[in-house]
Amino acid sequence: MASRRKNVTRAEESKDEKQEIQTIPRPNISRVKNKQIRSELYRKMKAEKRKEKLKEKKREKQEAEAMGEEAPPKKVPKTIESMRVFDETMVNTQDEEVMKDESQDEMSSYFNRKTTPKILLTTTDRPTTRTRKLCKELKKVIPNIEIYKRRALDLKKVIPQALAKDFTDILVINEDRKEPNGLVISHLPDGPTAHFKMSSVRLTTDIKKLGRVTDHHPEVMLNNFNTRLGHTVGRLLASLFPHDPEFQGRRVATFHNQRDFIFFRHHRYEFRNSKKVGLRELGPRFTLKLRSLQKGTFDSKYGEYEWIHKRHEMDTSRRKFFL
Amino acid sequence: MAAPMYNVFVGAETGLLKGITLKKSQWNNLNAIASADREKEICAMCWDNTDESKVCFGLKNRQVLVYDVDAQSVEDEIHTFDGGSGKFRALAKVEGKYLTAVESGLVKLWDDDEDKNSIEIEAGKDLFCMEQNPQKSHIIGTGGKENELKLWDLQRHSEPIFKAKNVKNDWLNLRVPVWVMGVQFLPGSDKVVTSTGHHQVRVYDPQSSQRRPVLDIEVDEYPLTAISLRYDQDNQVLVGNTQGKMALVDLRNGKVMQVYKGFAGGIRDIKCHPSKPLVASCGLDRHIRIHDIDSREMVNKLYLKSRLNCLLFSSREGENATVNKSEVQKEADVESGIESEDEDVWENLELVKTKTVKKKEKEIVVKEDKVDRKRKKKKKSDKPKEVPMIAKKRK
Repeated sequence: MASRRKNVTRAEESKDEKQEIQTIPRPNISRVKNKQIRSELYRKMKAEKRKEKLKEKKREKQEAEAMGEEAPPKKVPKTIESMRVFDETMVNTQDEEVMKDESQDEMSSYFNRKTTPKILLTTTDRPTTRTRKLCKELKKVIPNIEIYKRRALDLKKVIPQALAKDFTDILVINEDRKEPNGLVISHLPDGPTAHFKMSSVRLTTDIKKLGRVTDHHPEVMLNNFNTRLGHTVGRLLASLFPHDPEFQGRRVATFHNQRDFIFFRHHRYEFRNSKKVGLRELGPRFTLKLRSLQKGTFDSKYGEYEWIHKRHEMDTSRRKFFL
Repeated sequence: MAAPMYNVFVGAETGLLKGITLKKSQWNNLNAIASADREKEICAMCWDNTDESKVCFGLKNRQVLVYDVDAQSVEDEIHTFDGGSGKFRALAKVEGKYLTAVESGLVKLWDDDEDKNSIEIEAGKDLFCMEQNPQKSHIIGTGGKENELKLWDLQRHSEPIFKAKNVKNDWLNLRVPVWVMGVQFLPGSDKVVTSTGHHQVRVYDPQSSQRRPVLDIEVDEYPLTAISLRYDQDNQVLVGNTQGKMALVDLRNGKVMQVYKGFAGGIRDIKCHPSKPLVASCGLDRHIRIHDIDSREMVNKLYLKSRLNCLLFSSREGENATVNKSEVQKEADVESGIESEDEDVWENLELVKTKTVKKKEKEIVVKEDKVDRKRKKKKKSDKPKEVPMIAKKRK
C-alpha cells in the first residue's frame, strides 16, 4: 500500500515537473512486491514506450519527407555481422601473394582442371539408420561418389588404398548417439583435412514438400568465405563437385557461411521472371562448423594443424569470426 | 627514406623471404612475388656470419640464395647443392663454407675447390634436424625419425663422437620410439637438448658415462616441431608443438614453467632474441608472434599471408632502436636507483643482522635506557624475521 502511494505521488510530481524537465527517471517497478500490480505496471510502461516510439518514428518520417533530398540517411541497425571485429586475414581479391599461393596449393590441381573429383564416402563403424540414410542422400547430391562400409578400418590404412584407386577426396561421417555429428573431409593426394562438427541434420524424410533429385551436375554456391582460412575451406568444398555445372538441371548446392557456421542447402530453382525465383528444396540439410584444418592427409596425432578451434582463447568475443 | 631495419627474417612456403620491422609492425617481401613458387619453398635459413649482415636461405630445389641485409637485395650468385635426396633440413656456415643437411641423411661441408674432398657424413636416413654448436663450430648434432641423436666432429667425420642410446622400455616393456625433431647445444657445457616428435624434451651429457638422456620430460601430447634456447637466461628452453602450444621448459627443475597463448596453428620455428627476453615464433597459421618470455604477453602479431617455415631473429639495433636504447638506459637508471635504495636498506639492516653482532654494535652505538633497549631488542628480534621476507619480495 505504501509503495502504491509512493508511485502515485511520484506520478503527480512528474506531471508537475514535466513542464520543467522533459525526461524523468521512470519509477522502479521491480520494487513493487505484488506480482499482479507489478505486471500491470510493466504492461503499462511497455505500452507507453511503444506509443512514444511510434510517435518518434512518425515525426522523423514527416521531417524526412519535408526535407526531401536533404533528409539524413536512413539509420542502419547494428547487427553482429556489421559489428564484426576487423580481421586482417580478410582476402583482398587482387592480392598477388594470395593468388600465387592459391594457384599452387593442394587444391590447385582441381582448379587447373587436371583432376576430376572422385569421392569416397564412409562413416564410423556400425552406423545406424540415420547415418546410412544421410550417406544415400549425399550420394544423390554429389556426383561421382562411392559409399564404402567402414568395417572398423583405420583411416590411415584406407588412405593409401584410396590413392591407389584414384580417389581425390575422402568424406567420413562421424556418428554419436545414433545421430551423425561430425564430418571429416580429407583431400587426397596430400591435401588438407578439415574436421567439421555437423548439427541440425534434416534428412529428406524430415523435410516436407520436397522435389525430386536428378542426375545433373549441380551448381555450387559458396557464400561469405572471406578470410584466408575461409578461402581454403571454400576451395576444399568446391573441389568435391565436378567442374562444369549443367544449368539445364537447375540444381544448386549452397554452402552459406554466416558467423562461422556453414549452412548446407540443396535446391532446385526456377526463375519466374528476372526478379522472382522459386525454390524447391531437395535433399538433406545440415550445418557445419569447422573444428580444425590439418595440413596433409588425415593424421590427427602427428599431423600439423593449420588451424584449430580453441574455445577458451578464440571464443572470447561474440563479434569475432574466423571463416 | 631511410632504409628499414629488419629485426626478423621469415621464410615462407611460397618461397618468399619476408623482413619484419618490429617498431613499426611492418613487413615486406624481400624477393619478388612473381618469382614465388612452391618449388622454391624456403626450407632452412642461417646467418652468413656472426655479423648478421647476410641471410642464407635454402630452397626446396636445392638452391641456396643469399640476401644482403645492408644492400637490401638478393645476391645474384645461386649455389646449388645436390647430393642425397629430399629437401634441406638445415643449413649452416662453417668458416665461410656451407654445411648442408638433407632428408636422406647426407650432411656435407661444401668446399669451393672441387678438387679438395668436401667432408661428407652419412647421418642415417630420415634426418630431421642438424645443429651446429655455436661455441665449437666443428661439432654438429643430428637426429631424425628412428635416428638417434649423434654428435659429429667435422675433423674426424668417419664416426660420431657421441651416439645417444634409447631410453629403457616403457611400463609395458615396449620399445620407446625415437623421433628427434630439434637439437640445441647448451652454452657453457657440452650438454645437448633435443625435442622429439613423441613430445619429449631430453638432455644428453656426452661427458657423463651414460649415453641415455640425463633428463627426459614430456610436454603435452603432440609432436614438438620447434625448439629454441633462451639466451638471456640459462637452462631454459622454449618448445612448440603441432597444435600451437608453446611452452617454456626449465631444464633444472624438469618442469614446464609457462605456456604462451594466441596460436591458432602448428608452430614451425621459434627463435629467442640473443639478449632481450623476447621470442619470435612462426607457423602454419600464417602469423608471426613476438612474446615477452617472462610476462607471457604478446608484444606483436603480424599476418604474413603465407605459411611460414623458418625464421631468424636479428640482434642488430637499427636507427629506430634509439628510443629503445634510451628506454633501456632509463630502466638501467631506475634499476640502479632501486639498487641504491636497497643498499641503503641493507646498510640500515646490517646493524641488526645477528643477535650477537647486534649486542656488540648496540653496546658501541646505542646508549639508551634499558626500557628502550628492550624495545629495541624486540624490534631487532623482529627485524631478522623481516629480512628474509624483503629478500623474497626482491626476487
